[in-house]
Amino acid sequence: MATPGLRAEQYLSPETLAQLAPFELRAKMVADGVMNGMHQSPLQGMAVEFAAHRQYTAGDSIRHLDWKVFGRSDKLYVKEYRQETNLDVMILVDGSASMSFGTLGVKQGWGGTDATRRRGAWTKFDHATASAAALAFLCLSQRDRVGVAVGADGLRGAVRKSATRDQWRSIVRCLSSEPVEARFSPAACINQLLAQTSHRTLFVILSDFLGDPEGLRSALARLRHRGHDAMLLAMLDHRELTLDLDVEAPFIGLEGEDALDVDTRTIRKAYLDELQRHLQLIDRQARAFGYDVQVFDTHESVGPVLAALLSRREGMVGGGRR
Amino acid sequence: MTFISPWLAVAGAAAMALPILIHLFLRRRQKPIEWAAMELLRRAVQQSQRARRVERWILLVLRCLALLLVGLAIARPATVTAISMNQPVVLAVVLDDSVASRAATSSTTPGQTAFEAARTACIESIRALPSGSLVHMFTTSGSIEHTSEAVLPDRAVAMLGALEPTYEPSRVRQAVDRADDALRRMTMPGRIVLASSFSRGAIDTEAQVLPATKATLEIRDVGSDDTGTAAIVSMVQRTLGPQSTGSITVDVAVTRPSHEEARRRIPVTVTDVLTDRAATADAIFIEGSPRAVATVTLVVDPALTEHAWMATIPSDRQPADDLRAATISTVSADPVLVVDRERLDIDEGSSAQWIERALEPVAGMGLAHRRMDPSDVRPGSLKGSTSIIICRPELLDAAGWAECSAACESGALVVIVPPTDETFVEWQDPCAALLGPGVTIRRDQVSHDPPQRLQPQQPTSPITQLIASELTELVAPIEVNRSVVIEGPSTTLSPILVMDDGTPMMVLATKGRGVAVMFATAPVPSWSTLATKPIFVPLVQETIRQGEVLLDAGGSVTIGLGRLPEGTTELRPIRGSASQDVSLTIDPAGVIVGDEAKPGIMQAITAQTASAGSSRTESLVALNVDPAACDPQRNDPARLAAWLNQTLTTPSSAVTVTNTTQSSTSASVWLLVAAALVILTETLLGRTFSVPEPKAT
Repeated sequence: MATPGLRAEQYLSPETLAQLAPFELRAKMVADGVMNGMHQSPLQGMAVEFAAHRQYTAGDSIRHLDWKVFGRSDKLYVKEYRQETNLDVMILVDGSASMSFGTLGVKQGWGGTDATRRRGAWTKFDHATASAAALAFLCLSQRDRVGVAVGADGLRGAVRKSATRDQWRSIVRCLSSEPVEARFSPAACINQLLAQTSHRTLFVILSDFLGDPEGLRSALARLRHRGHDAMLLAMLDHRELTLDLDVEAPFIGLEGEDALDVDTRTIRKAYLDELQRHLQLIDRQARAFGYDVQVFDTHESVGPVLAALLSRREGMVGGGRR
Repeated sequence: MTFISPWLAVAGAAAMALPILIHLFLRRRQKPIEWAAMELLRRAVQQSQRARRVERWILLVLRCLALLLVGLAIARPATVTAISMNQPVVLAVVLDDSVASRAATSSTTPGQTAFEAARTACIESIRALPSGSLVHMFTTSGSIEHTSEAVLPDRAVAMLGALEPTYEPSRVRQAVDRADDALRRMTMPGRIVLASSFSRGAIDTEAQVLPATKATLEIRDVGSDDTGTAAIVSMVQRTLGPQSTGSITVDVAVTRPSHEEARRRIPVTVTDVLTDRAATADAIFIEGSPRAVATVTLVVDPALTEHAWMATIPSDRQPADDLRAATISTVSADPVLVVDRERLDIDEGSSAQWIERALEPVAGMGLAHRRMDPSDVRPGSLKGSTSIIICRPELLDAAGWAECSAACESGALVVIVPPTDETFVEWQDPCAALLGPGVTIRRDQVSHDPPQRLQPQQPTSPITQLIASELTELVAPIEVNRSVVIEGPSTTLSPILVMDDGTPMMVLATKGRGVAVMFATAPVPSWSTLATKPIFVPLVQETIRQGEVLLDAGGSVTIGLGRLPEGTTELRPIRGSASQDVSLTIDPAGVIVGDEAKPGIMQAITAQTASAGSSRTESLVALNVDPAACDPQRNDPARLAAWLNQTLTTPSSAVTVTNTTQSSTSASVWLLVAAALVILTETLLGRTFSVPEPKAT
């Protein structure tokens, strides 16, 4: 599973890092961290950043009275502070068989698994692990606690959240696994992860989301119920997005589906309509819980799409604070 | 309903299978494709695949239908026209009495010629006529012209019985046209019966006979070989290597109409009449040239001083063409005569040496030659020489010039090269006189500084015809420093090579039965770079070879039956058991009197020698008109009938060949229109069914 001697730099191309550098990963919701950080905490009073004035009520400590306001207005106001903390991030990568689909040649410097190198194709799993690594690196560089899990019908490998210096290497080892011959069950994986999670956490789920939308909805509902934030990164191959094939041939499913005789020229429009409907359904489900969804084209670079997503989240959080 | 070309209908039906096979082949060839989004694919397939499959089958059926309709249209559907047996008609009988009809064909009774079989068929047709019918008589040779009025059947049968085959080529088209014209003047229903063996010799493929319908007739597609239009026009003997080897080469010039294929090999066989030795070589036609030369090498007995050869085209077994194809030469073997002093050391690099090297670049290979001292050129010394190259004209005296002129007039090739040394001897006038009347050669040589080059586009000349395609490239590097100016009327001199300023570098003149060629510059480095350039060897050799082809050998060479030697009164066979005791008399018009011509080699006896009582061979004539030896290839009667139907102008007259068919042109047109509509429908449906290009998600 782990690749001996794998270099962490393999997972981060300079191009991706350059595109991500201006952004900070911020939790849209208030993070429940245990260390000082840059994310908003629900606990107030013990930090240095002023938040607001509140009228004094009996029982309040007089240490927080604003005497200057009392001197000017003869009224008692208590100063409130906002404590900032770090963010807990758990990245879940879909390691099911459908993620082993890819039509692009290997991207140099983007890492990838042994299977990728053998087949010479850049798969959705490769794209997902590259994106996960980029996010993890970003979090670690912000001193956020980050953990990684690879799952299919259940968790196949996981690294607990941590912000230590050795965490990056552990994450890379975990991401070096390969897809398995099983279908992705978001509910099962999320259940397992929630059992290990006590603080509020940002869950980043990287998958093609081609499975049953109902299973995904139930997993997202569970996250929402526990007060966690989530981002859904849909990894889809360019050919899946466009069906730019002019063939009449049998199509074989990667997850054991029966073969299907298809003339792509005749069904292209219907397929694209179905794809649109499916992605819109996923998007609706996620937004119903206040979560973000972003579609990734595996033929395109990770950086710009990820940067756009983070920029959007930063804008939402920043705007809310101001 | 039938088809003029039923095999095209079959081909059309067979072509229908093509899209089906392609369809099935493409279906089976695809490898399975792995796919992740199978559920989406399955839902999309459920939506559209079923409708699309129906559309695809509709398109496939339309494509097959279009191919079938086109095939049927090309096959030209025809209807069989039944002519009432009791209705009086005018029957135009066209009988093939050409020379080809003398051949015995496999389809006739053994011993019966094609003419007899055709005549029998005509008589049967006439006797089958209902009472009151009339008959028009026509022959393909045009030997009888009873077009003015129709005759009764009995009279027609009697006329047919009196007919004999001719030696004329067949003119089917003209005969049928005449019959058609005659029928159009009649009020009764008409019918044409064309009785012929339909061998290739029976249909003249000359362009002037079938001016506009040659492509429609497609005669050339019928036979396996179209060499029937080629004709041998001359034969010149040449020695290859030393005489002792007994090897002799013979150049045989062959012509064919210019509309033939651009490049084609025609085998030519030369047979030694006396020893029966034969050899074959190919005459290779070059694009744009109707003439080619086959060089045949024969082994001969060195002890014999005279030989007779007969050249034939083996694959051309049609008598109509062979009438023009027999040639015989009795020229004895002789090398090219180079007139110059004996070779001396001080002459190193002379014109003669450069020319000798060009004649025979490798010892034993090329054109044999020998030197003759100019002082030895005396009356009678050049007798028997075919090619004479005068390299030192200034050393010839008046007697020498007279002998050269006489040799040229009697059928020799004389090539003259200007002298390279400064000389005060006036050689120009006798040389100009040899070239022809009105020709002058300026006394002063002209020096060119800078050197003259040759025009890239050289005039067309029979001397350079075989190297014409490369001539531009070959003449490019030639530089001329000095030259003599040859002037003369264009009727006498024709340029072979021309310099940049328009003055000729090489000219050709016809003198009597011979040919004279003159270089304006000498092939030595001080005069020009001609001798050192790649053109020189082919130019010299072609000058000799093509020049000799142009010679009119007159009494020594006779071409075929149509061109007997002037004054010939009698032909006596010199070999061949079949003609041993036959002597043919020739009338003043040159036509054989009495018995038919017999094949073989004949002595042509002139009137003078005959009257003097001392018969001697003035020339040999080859008559190879031997219908029994012919193996005519048959044309397809159905195709011929289709051609005749198409070219006739009277719709009411049908041509009977093997059956009576009338091509329905309108049916073909309607089929083509239907095919076009089907194709249009297929295109429109294809566009309607087609899926628009996807946009990126």
